[in-house]
Amino acid sequence: MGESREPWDLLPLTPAALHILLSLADEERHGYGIMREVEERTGSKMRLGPGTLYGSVKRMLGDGLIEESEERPDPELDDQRRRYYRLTDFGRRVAGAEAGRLEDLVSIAYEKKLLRESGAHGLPEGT
Amino acid sequence: MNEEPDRVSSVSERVYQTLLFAYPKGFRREYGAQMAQTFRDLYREERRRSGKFRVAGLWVRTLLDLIATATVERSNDRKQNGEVIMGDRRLAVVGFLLVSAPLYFVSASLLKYGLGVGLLFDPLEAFLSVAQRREVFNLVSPVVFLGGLGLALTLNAYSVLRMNVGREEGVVVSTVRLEVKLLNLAVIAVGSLLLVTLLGYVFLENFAYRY
Repeated sequence: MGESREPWDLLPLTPAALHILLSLADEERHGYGIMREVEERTGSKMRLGPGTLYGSVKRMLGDGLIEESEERPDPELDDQRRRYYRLTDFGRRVAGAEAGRLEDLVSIAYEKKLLRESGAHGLPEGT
Repeated sequence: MNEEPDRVSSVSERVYQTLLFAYPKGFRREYGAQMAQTFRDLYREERRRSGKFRVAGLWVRTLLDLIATATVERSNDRKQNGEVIMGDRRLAVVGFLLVSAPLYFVSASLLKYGLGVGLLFDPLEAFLSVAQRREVFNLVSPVVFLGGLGLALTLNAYSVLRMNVGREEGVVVSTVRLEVKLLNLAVIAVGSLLLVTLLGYVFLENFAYRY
């Protein structure tokens, strides 16, 4: 589905979509697992509600960024009714393209002295 | 996850499952069970970490999320559904039927008392010359005229107005968009004019200074 398009056709991603892609970059997860991973990774700065999560999942499945995993975990370890999601190759390329786009933006912010090379939050002194 | 749910959490889960009806049917069928399960997990986690405040915070976040995303999903569903145009036209027809009674009454009155043309008003006056009919008319007409106009305006406003509530950098932002659907807009324009005319008439009849 996504193979006929280029990754940058889908940029910029919404913050929720990018966080979901990042969450699935290292392993497949179910919805609640994605929520917890995003919350922990961002220090609770980003909390996905069920509506935001599954609305994004629906669109990302439609765009071919993620797919439902057919493998189910050991029933003793987890609820068999849960649906697990994983990144597609196209989704991985889109996540990479979005990260590159953000990297470019951050470079411009450094050039324009909006960010420092190091320090808390990278903000310049006096802000 | 294996612990027995207590009564409060099962009530909360049932409330959330009911609130899922805010989403379009297709979305609910596809993701409703997963969303309910995710909410259940979130709720139990918040209860475990404890505090009523944490649970209250979860409810606030969940409700804001539900309002924003259900609005978006419904809007997307309407855009993708080919039957929408038919639905909007049907709303316009229903709207015209609802405004037809007050439209007839106001037009007949204006023609009679403004231009002296009794073409529309005289048959009505003859019909209402019977005391019993006049009593029924006085009782029913405010409900039919004002209620019908209110309903026609509400239905057609629903058809042309799109509301979107979302969060941008932690701030809740709402936008209202007007879609140009001529039939529905015509009903709104005619309905609004009639409503203003009727309310103006009621005001003048009851509150105007009399010499």
